[in-house]
Amino acid sequence: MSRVACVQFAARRRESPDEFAARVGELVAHAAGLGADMVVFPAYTGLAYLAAACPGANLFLGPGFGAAVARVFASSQDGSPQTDFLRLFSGLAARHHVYIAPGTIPMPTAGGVRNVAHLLSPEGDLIGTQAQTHLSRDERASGFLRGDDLKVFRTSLGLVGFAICEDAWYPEVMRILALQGAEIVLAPVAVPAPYSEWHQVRGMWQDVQQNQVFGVEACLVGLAGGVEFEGRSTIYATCEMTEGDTGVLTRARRTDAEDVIVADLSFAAIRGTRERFGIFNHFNEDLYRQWFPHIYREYVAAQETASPGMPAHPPVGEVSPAARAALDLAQKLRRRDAARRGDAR
Amino acid sequence: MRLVAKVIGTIRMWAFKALLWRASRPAIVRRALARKRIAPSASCASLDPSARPSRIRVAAVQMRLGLIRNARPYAETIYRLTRDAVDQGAQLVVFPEDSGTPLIGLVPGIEKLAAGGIDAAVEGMAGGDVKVAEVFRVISPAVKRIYETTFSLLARAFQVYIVTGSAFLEDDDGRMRAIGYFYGPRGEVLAKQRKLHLVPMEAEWGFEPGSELEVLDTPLGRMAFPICMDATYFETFRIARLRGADVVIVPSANNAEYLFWPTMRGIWPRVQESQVLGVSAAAVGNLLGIPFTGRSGLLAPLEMTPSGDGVLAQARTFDQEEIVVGDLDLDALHRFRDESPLDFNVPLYEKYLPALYSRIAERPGRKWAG
Repeated sequence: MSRVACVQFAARRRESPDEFAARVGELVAHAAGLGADMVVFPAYTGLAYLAAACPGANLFLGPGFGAAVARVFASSQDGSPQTDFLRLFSGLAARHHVYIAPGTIPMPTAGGVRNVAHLLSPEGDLIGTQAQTHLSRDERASGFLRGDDLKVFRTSLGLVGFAICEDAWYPEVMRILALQGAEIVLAPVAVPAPYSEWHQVRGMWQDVQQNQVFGVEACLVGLAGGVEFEGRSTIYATCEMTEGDTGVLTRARRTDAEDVIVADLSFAAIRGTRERFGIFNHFNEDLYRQWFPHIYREYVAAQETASPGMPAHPPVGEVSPAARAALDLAQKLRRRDAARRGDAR
Repeated sequence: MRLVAKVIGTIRMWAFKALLWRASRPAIVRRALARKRIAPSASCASLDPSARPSRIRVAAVQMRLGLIRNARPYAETIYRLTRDAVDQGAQLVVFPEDSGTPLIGLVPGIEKLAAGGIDAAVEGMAGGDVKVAEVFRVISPAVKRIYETTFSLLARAFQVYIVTGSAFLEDDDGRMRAIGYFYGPRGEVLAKQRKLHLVPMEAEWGFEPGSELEVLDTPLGRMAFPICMDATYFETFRIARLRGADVVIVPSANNAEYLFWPTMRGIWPRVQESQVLGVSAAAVGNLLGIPFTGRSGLLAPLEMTPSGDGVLAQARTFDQEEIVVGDLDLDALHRFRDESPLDFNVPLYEKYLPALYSRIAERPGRKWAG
């Protein structure tokens, strides 16, 4: 049994990075006090951090957002804002001995920004990063570029994957993660107000049902990047595993206020569900092989011919700059920790 | 002794099959329907086969399943339901999955045999090593005749489109499958759909999945009609949508207690994620001690429904016979798609799909069926 916590973080105007650090510190401490082994923050937690760290940077979602983020990163003196952001959460992870997924942070890359999630170990090490792979029209207009890779990460709780924002509404994402063995899917999301329960049902709720995994959806509330967000953070399991067959283990009390929720994930129970009624036992591979992936390619080509309004997505290299940066950072953090341990001795 | 028993068994089986063949004569269905003096509906008369209609009127029949022993009452039951749908202006009438299964009543004494469940019945009839699908194989020629004659004649007489739901039949390649038919207003078969994803029980019973998803152009729009469990898998609807389907019809039969959230795991999310219009026809009633529940309905993306819940029209009950009639607005669907286009990540899918499907054996809790 493992306990996960979901932080429904309220973004608001903060005067300094210290003020931001103080609040997330309280939230992680609260989650750890509830016995959590893993703490998940919503999307754009890193945007709220950048706004606090660089007041006057004009980090407003919409046209010009990508350039503003690039300016923030270019003008930072020591290291990058990403490093500072991760150092903060890495310290909290190590102090409370919990895994932390500190939501997402927009990171500049060639030609735009990526919305990147990180996973930190209870020792404070970076386990891995995941860039958002599907974008809404508004996100594209803000200069976001998508990643083209979905990874799962080994933790003591089980294999973990990410479905970031819009990704939770493309069933391909959860399927690819589950087929790679993911047992817990973390969904840091930020959905503009007003809140719609049915929109949430057609996202993570059904993704979890269709793949028989656990889902941890952390929703941003409050004001970030000039946009008002609402949501109701929820920890999901299959209907069979939940009281009243709702598919919900626990959820935040409100859609517009900060909250921390925790739930216990029973892996024995989810394996039991799969044994009794294994959705994955009855895939029709013959059918999928006939159409995947070329049917997507043909559809997209036909769309581009029919309505050439939207620019095509730029191609992505094998290792994205975000992933490269993350790898470098991981090395740096590890070296720092090693040095610290040396000092202690 | 053994040989004598075998010979007697063979003679009995031969006599039984001859009896079934006689009981399924098309003339029985023809005569039963001729008595109804069916007047053709005008609902499909104005359709222009070369253009997509703006909107269509659809009926989802929440049919009550129960044993039916002869061709005539079967034809009369399907007639009554079709008539009630057509009277409300339906151009397309959709029946639930297992709409042909009540004809298992053609087997004399089936109720007594099935008192201890279907598996026990099969054991009593054919021995312990025979799968349930083999019983359906024996009656398949008769069921097929009654089923095809009934739906074809009704589609032609009313001059409407009919999706039949499904029946367990012996397929052209000799395998046992759940098969659905799409009939046109001249009584012609436009397409047949084999169920693509089985529930564990069907696999244990010896049925096999099909491997083709039919997507067909009709004067009512471009449609697919997969069956029940197929709607549990996003792949079904994705392929249908990417191949241009506007309407996806799902006949279903859920043999479980009605619980709201578990029933939300089928067509509802599929309609949302693939931006199509959905027609769900659910079976109710009880067949050989197996109860069926479900709420039939017409579904659309949240943004297109008045109450924002994805439901255009819905049955009032989950256990009573009802007909849900409503309009599907194809123009509104295309406007919605233009406003909220799906933005697929092709390089991502190329990396993982379909390659990953063959790696599922590694998943904990996974158990191979059969």
